[in-house]
Amino acid sequence: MTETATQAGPTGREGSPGARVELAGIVKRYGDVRAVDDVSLTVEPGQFLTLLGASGSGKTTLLRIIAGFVDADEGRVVVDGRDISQVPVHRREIGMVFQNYALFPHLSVAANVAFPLEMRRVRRRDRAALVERALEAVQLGGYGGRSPKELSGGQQQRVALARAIVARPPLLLMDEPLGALDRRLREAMQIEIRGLSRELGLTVINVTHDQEEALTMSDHIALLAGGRLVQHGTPEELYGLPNSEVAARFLGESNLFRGRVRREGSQAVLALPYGRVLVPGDTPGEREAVVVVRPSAIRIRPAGAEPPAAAVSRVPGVVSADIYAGDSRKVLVEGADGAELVVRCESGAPLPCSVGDEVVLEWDPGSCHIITGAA
Amino acid sequence: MRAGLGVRLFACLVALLFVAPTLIVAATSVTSGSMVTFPPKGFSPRWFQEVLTDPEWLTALGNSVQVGLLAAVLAMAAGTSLAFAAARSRFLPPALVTGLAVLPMTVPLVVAGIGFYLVYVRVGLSGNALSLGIAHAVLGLPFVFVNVLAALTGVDRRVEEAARVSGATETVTLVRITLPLVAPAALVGGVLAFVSSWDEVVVALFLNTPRFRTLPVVMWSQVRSGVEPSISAVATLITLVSLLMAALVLVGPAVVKKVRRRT
Repeated sequence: MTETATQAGPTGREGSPGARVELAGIVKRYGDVRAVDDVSLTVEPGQFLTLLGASGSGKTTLLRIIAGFVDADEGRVVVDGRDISQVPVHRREIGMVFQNYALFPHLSVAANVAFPLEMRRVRRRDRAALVERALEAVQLGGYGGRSPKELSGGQQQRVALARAIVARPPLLLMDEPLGALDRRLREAMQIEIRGLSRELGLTVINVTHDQEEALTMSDHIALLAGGRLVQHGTPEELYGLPNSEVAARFLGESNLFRGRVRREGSQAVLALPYGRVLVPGDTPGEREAVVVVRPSAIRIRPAGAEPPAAAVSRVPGVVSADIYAGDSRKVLVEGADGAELVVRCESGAPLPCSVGDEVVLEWDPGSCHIITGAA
Repeated sequence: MRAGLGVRLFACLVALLFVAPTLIVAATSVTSGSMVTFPPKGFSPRWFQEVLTDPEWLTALGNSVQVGLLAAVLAMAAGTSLAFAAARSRFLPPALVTGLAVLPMTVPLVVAGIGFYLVYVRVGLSGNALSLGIAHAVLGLPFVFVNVLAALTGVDRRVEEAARVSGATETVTLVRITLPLVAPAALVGGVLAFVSSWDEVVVALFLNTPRFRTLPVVMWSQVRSGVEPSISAVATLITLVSLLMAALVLVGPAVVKKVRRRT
């Protein structure tokens, strides 16, 4: 296979194969419910974007609007500068993978994969080679003669993936593609799909409710809640710098402290009826804020221990559970206000306390993140 | 759980009761005598020979086949369309479509016969395979409708969406994906429609003319003038055809699947 053949593909696209996708003010109403509420975002060519959210967050509706199965009430879907909002599904040049595979049960694996080529009027004699190449890309070379029913779930999803990419569409949509697979297979497929989409340079929009999948696979994550776009950024940004309580709660475990920020000497402090939460950075004036502390940033100390010299945040509590989780240990602490706090420790190190002990949680002000403007 | 000896004996007895009349008729058809008697006198294929060389029986046989095939094809077309309307229509209430489609099952045959007779007299359609074929298609339609509707509700909409996103128009999706998926069910319904037409006598009597009569109609008129072993022979032949069709329904779908896998 020559280099030019890779780039041109059957649709004849030259250069960067991925599409630039722009969503502008997308709104979809079902009765009084706004399933998608004014979502705007841009996906750069070759980018892997995950639409992340709980069920009912509007992520699937948004994907179906991009695919053309659902018409948006407002807004535009622009692909490579062209508004495709009015273009019917079959002319959008999209590859799509469905959660339940959605293979054509009456056709062989090869005929399934050949279908998009046939629809795009690729000459019959060119099809076989393209089909075999796509099947090899998903490690199913030689499976063309089988019936989909003879394959395992993971293999069926690979066939679906081969069918989605065989015609080299500039845009690949995936609707919870790994939801029906077991954990180990899911993790293997995550890496495989990511590798394949990079290799082909496709723009991918993936829908999932699995935050781990989102963090592992994506270049960018768009977090949706209640139909609205909560935050859009890299996995590092969403995990490390959540812009809202919703984002902080959805991605990973987190401890949230809410209160008014005020100045104590040179240090900004969150005013709590108990403990002392330091706020990093230069904070002008008093305002409401939420401080996010990840469980792994927290140290546990016995209640009577000497406070260290350095400025640290300190919150008292009572250990309520100690859960061993293999490579780490999850300790639940009931805070003074009754809230449950989560701490992650290395499972190798001995814990300086046991369930029922009074402890103090400490962390450096630099290791927490502050969400401002939170009501 | 295995059935006890008593239960199995009882089941055999019931089965025997069901098939006994058919077996007795079949036995009387191979008699070498000229009367319908049980047990038959001797063994001879003479009555089969007589039936299969008699122009009246042969014409009736041809008519029956024509009417049956026509009924099956029309019922498949109409029944499949109605099933799509019931399962997929955006503006027709499914209950209404289903109610209409299975109505022919509940209407007494005598009423249907009179109805068709009156309509055909008015429009001048009678005495041919088409008139009776249409009537039998209506009677056979529910078989196709019920089968296809069941198959259609089992078709995953996302399979059709996968075809659409692959570049297929709605029509191409219908022809290449959805119809092939429900075709075995439609075929089974068609066979059942053929079988129901094959031995249908009430409506056929209302619509028969001296020049166009199906096998059951000829049998009925012959029986009125006395039972000959030729009637038994025809009855046996009719039964064999129906059995063949039943076998087709049972084995057919599996064969279709095997052939498909090879191509």
